[in-house]
Amino acid sequence: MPKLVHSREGKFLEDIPLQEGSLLIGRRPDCDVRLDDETVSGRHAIVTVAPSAYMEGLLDVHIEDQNSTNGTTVDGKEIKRHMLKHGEVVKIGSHEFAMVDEATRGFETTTVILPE
Amino acid sequence: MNTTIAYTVAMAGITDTGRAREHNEDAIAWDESRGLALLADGMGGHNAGDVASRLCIDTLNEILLPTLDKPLRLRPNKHMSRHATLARRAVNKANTAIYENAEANPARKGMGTTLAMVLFYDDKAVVAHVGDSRVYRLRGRELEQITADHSLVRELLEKGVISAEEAEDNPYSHVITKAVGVRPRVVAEVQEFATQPGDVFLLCSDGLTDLVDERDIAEALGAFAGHWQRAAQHLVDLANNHGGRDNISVVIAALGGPR
Repeated sequence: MPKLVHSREGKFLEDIPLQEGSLLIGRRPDCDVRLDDETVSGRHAIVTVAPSAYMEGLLDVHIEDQNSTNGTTVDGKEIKRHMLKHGEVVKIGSHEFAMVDEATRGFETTTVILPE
Repeated sequence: MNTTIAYTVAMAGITDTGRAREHNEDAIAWDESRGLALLADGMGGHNAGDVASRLCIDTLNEILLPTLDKPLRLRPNKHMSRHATLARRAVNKANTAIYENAEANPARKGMGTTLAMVLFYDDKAVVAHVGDSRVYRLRGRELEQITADHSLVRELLEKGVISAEEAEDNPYSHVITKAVGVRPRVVAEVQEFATQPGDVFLLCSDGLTDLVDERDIAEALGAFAGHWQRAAQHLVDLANNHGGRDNISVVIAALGGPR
């Protein structure tokens, strides 16, 4: 199961398991991942997890910025909507979320052949 | 000596480990006089990738180089020229060589390789490929990708399942749907084009195109025209300057004026 490893300023906070559905990240109390950081918008970004459009049995994880004031970055690059790969790090305010997905981990460095 | 080629031929190439990998699993080879250029990007655990790519190139050279010295005896069929048929058959033999090697060496099970091939004859170019290594053609100032990647992402894009934006940078970018050596048989995609004086063909592995955009590639080929080894080095340098995340290979096959 993929997960986001949540840390802030180098300190590990929690593992967020990613299951089918969505997670709202922001400062508001009704957010699924509530961040205590003034540079974070009330409703900052949404992570959606759905069955993969690419490969059966896997999950596709997307992050979409909700027109936040200060934006959302992935590996330092500002994004609107982005599909997360193993190893990428999302930054929202001073919070970091590292994507860990063992299922697609090999796909990053090796060219894999799709079995029939 | 393949004297049927209508134009003068100049070739150059480089393969580089890049900045992130320990080993180079790409393999390249070219023969100007016979008008043959080859590039393979290997994959497989325990460094079997370099066995696969090397075996692919070596097998193709063994079959093609002596065959190209004489007039081809193959019967052409109405769909494919003799040279195109030769290319397809040679790839199948390379496939068998790799597949059988893996059967005999369990640690290499599943190894395979991509392949990009350009073969000149008369005023034609046969372009064969398997996987996501590519062949581009620069004609005048226009760079065109003439091979369509055999990749999961491109196929889904074509079917309309995903958008161009989604195809850009996703975890499945390197999943290919065809490779040489992984199954008992493979059918290479073989195309044939009429050539013109001044055409420049570029074979490259995804280690180049993942990091360097086509505009910069076209510019490099234009800027270093006629100095193909330097052009090849420049392309590799560009990829390394952008991180060199994978092995980087390029082969340039350029046609001059009429022979």
